[in-house]
Amino acid sequence: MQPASLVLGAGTLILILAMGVRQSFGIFLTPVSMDLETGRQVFGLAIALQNLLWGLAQPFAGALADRVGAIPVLIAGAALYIAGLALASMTTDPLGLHITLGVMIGLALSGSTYVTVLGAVGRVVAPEKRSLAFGLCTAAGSFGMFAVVPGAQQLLDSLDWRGAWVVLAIVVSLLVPLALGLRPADRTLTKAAGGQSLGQAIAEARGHSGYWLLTAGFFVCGFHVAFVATHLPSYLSDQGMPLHVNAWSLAMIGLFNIFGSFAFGQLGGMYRKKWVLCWLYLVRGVVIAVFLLLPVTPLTAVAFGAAIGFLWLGTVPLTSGIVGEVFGVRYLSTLYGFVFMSHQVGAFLGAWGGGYAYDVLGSYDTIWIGSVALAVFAAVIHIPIDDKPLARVAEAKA
Amino acid sequence: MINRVFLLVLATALLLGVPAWLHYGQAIAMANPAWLCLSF
Repeated sequence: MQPASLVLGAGTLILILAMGVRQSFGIFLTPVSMDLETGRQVFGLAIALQNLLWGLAQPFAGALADRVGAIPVLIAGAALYIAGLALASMTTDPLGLHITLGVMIGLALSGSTYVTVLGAVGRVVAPEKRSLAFGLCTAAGSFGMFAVVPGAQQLLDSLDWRGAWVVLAIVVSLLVPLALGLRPADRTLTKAAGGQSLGQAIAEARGHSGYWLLTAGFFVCGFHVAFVATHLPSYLSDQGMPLHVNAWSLAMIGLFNIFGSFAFGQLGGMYRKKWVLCWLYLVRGVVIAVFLLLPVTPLTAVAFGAAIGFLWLGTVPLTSGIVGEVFGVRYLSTLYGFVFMSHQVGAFLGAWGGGYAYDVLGSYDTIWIGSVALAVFAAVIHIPIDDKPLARVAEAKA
Repeated sequence: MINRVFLLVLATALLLGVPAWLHYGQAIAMANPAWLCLSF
């Protein structure tokens, strides 16, 4: 098997498992909260902690992957993930949930998901195929939202939540053998030794205005997806939509996210990525505005799910692709790790801010309008990004 | 090659996902507002 195919195959499977399991945590909220008699905010805080720590730890996990290789970081992440799930299944109090589901799994995700895998894939796939390969990896991560979440629900129905988490811990243990498939990518690290240092790479990116603009744009992406995913169901219920419409809107987000992630990866290989990103954010703004202006019906709710789902994570292959194109792939995990941290901060604010705005103002209208404004802002700030490879990267390529 | 892998991923998702959502969709939707975890 070709080294690139091996890394891509392993990376795809790793992301399906790691993201799929993580995306299923939402369905455990009610049974865990009821069983532990804690109220919903305890579980909510554990998940909020998980997402925030994932983002904050990401640049460090990325830097470690760029230094010692993706395999050790992935295996350490998997070990923490397994331990977190196993211990969470035994927990009896809020503190236990916060430590296992929040801290342990949050840190585990920074080692076992997109940033580590995309860094490895970027190092072995030919530059002209990179965007497409990143699109495939993102689509694989999106697979979890559509196919793994109902599987976890089935586990929850046939076992209890404790049993379901033990089974998921066993499923996550498959990450360890799969990580070994990334070996060809790790071999390139020793070959590249002697070039730029990690500190120099970070300083170089810090001095590049395009890097800051990409980081700001990705904040908006995080804000949008977290706000919509967290609050859309409540919004639809407030508008009188029945539960099955609610369910199908969510399913459409998951399904069309698979198409969208791959399609935008493909578009990124055909056109300049920054322009594709401009259009993506602009269309997001238009989709949200049209949804707000139209009366909410089952048809508009499901169509909104499909449209916003198509635009969901298409930003990942494009944003990580620009980072790789401009700065090279040697420190991609580190540099994309910082950009991803901004995504998670945006996501935290989108999920929390949406709830706060609703509590204070009594409706979601302001935050929906704010989301449209942020989409336009993100589209505009991508225009001045200088996406030319740095002289150092262009020379290395020549 | 990449396109073929994508089709495989998509076909598997549809094959597993559609019947599963038909069966478990409402239970999943009821688990809200924890879609916090589905996001980003």
